[in-house]
Amino acid sequence: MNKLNKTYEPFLFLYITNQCQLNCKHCYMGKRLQNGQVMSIRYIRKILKFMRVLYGHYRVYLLGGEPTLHPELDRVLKICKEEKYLVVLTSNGLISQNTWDKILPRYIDSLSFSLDGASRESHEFLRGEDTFQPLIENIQEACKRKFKTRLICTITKKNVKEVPRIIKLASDLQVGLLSFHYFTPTGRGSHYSTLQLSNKEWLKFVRDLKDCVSKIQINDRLKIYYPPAFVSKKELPLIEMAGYKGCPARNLERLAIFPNGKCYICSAFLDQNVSFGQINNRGFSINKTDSNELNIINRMSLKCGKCSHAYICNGGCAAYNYFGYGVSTNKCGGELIPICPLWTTSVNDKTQAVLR
Amino acid sequence: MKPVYKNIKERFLFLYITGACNLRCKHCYLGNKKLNQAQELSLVEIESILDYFKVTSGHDKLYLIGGEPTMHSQLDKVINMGINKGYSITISTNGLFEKKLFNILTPRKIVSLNISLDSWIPEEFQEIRSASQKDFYKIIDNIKLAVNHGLQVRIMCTISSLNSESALGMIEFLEKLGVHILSFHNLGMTGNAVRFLKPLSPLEWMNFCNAIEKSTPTDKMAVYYPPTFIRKEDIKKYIERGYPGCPGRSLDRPHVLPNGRIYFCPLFMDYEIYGAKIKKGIFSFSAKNNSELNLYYRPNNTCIKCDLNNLCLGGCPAYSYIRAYNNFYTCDKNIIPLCILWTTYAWNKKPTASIHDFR
Repeated sequence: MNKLNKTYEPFLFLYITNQCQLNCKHCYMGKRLQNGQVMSIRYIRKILKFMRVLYGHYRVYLLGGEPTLHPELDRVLKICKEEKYLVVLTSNGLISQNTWDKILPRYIDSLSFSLDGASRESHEFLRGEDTFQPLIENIQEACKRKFKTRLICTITKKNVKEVPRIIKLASDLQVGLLSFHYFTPTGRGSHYSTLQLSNKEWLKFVRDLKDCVSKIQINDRLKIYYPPAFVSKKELPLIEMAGYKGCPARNLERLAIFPNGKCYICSAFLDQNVSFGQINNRGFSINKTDSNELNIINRMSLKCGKCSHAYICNGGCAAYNYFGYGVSTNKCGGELIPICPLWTTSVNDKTQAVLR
Repeated sequence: MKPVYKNIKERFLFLYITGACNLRCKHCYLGNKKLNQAQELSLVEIESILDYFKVTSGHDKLYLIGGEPTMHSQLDKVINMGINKGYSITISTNGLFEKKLFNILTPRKIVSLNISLDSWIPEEFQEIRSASQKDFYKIIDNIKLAVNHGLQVRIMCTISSLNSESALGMIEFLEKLGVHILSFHNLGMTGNAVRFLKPLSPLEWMNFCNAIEKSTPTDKMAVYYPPTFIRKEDIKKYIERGYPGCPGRSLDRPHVLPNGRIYFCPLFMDYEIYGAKIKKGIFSFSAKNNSELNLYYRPNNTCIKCDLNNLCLGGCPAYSYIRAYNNFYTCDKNIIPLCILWTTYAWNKKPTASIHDFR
């Protein structure tokens, strides 16, 4: 194994507005959603330029809040293209007719929707009333308008049983990608930590998912991704083969930036007071306290130095250690091994090309 | 054009196992002050550092440097420890070690033996290294012995205005000695170099690189050099060859000094602006206003306004933030900067042996 063959995937997560119509139970944004801050056009352009110069960033995820609520969304999209970025926009699906007229497929390389259940009941349990039907209609609208359309589904105890139906729904809607996410109780989600699957339940979800995809008839176009989050010793070489590269935060590959200029390197910490730094007029200034994210994610359990597969898991996930969920490296016995919960791999896309 | 982020990152760990050195070379980027402290990294510290980078970042190529690394009191144990932890090891020496050291530096253990030699003319050598002619011949003897022992021998030759005129003579001289690789380095403005030597100006450096390319190619030895300043139309060629941009910004190449301070680029070593520290396996970043990291993440205004779509990847932060480089180079969007440490092969002869990845 030669980690020297490592290349990076420099993605920029730009939270262009803190405004949102919803108050989802599992939202990782936390209190900042209440302040309604919006990222100015000038600021967005500056960040895009900074990252392009400093790191060669080329792909921006427009997030929020609800990014389609940005008062100058059309200009934001145009600027992203002027600065030569690929654009992924993630919406809760409450897109007004007025907004549809502002966004065009040539400005958005991929349009993602958050879908948290196959039924109105489970989706709205997390996202609130009257959110399911408009979402479904807007997914259809996006497909009709020839957007590359994707779905994101965060797995909780509430919707895990619906996984086969969610896959069926994604297939029927004719979207290109369904990406499952691992729920971590942070932000508002910290009040609903009981929704998080236990390690055992998560492993069962992964097993069932693979089983289900092999059995049910789905649309050829639909590619399904999931984050393994932690794996058995036996599966570790498969993860390596699928391209797992360890914690992306350690090389500052994936910066998340908020309207107030705060910048994070791992989304698990977005609701913590541990940011990496702050954007200012000259570039970044790194957070001066010891609780800088960089220090947190670079803490290694001394046990890992003696472990024979540390070179694949790269010392696990610092967020697991910090928050005490998943598999902490301090408690890792080398049987169930922690990997980055944000890293996804495909069930039915051998080339793994859709996300890469 | 191939996107730069697709280029493989060179994850080398540079471990300064001792500050002690038997020479005080004019081009030493560490500088006499650090050499005089002669601090040594203990085996316990070395173990935790090797573990840390191996686990967290997958580093597996280790440069043992100093000072003079062969002066570490437990060199044998350091090398064995590195091997046991899965590192490939290269050692960078001034070549003034005793013959018995070849019992430790064997081809089985050392992937490449790097020896610094800055001139083939004894008098010029003396001037650069503040050493004697006897020392020169001792180094030459050790180079021959290393070749005879079956080691891969790489000579590092740092170019300043003092030795640039004679430098191309190194090719023939070293080829005859059976050396495998010659790497020219471009003098950085750090340590002793700031006080005693002058680097070539960007244009002079470009002429020097041209002269290498125009020299007679040899099949027996690979020659590498850092382009450092290039014409903008040539960037594509270098990106195809694997130029990965500034390795400091992605923290790929940590230089760990004997006091546990980590610099992500050696050009910044003269200042108290180290990027991080490591002590007992605990890694902590430095967040002072002018820490290395803060400087790397401060894009140059010229670059932000540049219309070349970031061809050079934001260049090298040292020209903007290192005092010694004041008025040395300003980008005119025609001659653009690459990382001074990134080298490429001469004469379009790409060496095929994988050993050359380790240089």
